[in-house]
Amino acid sequence: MKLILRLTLITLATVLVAGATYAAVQSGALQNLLSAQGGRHRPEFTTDGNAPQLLAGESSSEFRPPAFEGDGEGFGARGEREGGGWRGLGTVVRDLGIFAVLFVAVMGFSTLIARITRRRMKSPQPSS
Amino acid sequence: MQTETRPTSNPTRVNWWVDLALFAAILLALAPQFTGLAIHEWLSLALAGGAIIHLLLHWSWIVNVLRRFLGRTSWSARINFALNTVLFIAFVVVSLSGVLISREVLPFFGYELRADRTWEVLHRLSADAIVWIAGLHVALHWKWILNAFQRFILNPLFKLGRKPVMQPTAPVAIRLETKQ
Repeated sequence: MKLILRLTLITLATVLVAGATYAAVQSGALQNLLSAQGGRHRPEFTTDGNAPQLLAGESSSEFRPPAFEGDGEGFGARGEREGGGWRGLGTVVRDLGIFAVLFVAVMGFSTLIARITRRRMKSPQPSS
Repeated sequence: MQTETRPTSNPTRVNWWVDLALFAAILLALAPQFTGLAIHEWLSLALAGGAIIHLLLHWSWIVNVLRRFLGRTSWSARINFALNTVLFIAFVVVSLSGVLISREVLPFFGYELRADRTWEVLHRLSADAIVWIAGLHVALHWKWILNAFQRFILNPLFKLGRKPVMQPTAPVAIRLETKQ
């Protein structure tokens, strides 16, 4: 009974977030934000292995990936569909690196805070 | 009389192995270029199940912090809870957008959705965010992780490396048989 209640609550929270996201996208509220960010994620290579061609008058910072259609363009381009290779492994290593850096940073920071707090507790209080 | 001692399942051990599996799955799911799109999509779907198990295993903590969030609780617990909420939202967004741009899972079930660039960008952005948020989520539990790593990985490895101590055995009775 407890399990069903908990699963129901998780489902409700999920539906709430998913519904809000869907509504935001459908209403166009997220369009501007996403189109501003979209350029960061342009594919570096097209299916023929060449760098994507810029349109006339378009600078590289303005480049937007081609329409999300077809196998060779955007998300699901051949490299992603087939998988494997050093580029893919590089992503795993990069993410692992980010995790490691964050882990060490938080560990160092909280150890430092704990040490400072302990030192303050130990130091003799001035007697009145 | 010999008594057989069986290792009892303790919650810390279960949490450790579930979390380790989740961590490995997230790392792989975040690299579709490495796994390929089919594994990426099916693994991510399985990851959603794993995340639900993770939530259920830590349910009492969630309820306790939620009850005391505005009252008497530590700031670290508050920060942790806020971070976990953001992680949950990012996870739902990445899953939803992933399903909507799916090219393997949905067609497998006979559904074909029209490709939408907005969902694709949202999927990538939320995946990028998850790397940092999940990284912080893991990092905030560094003490527990180091303890569990020592307990469930290092100690068993050291035990394996040691030579087993010879137990004194009872004298074996040797029966000599003579050929007749």
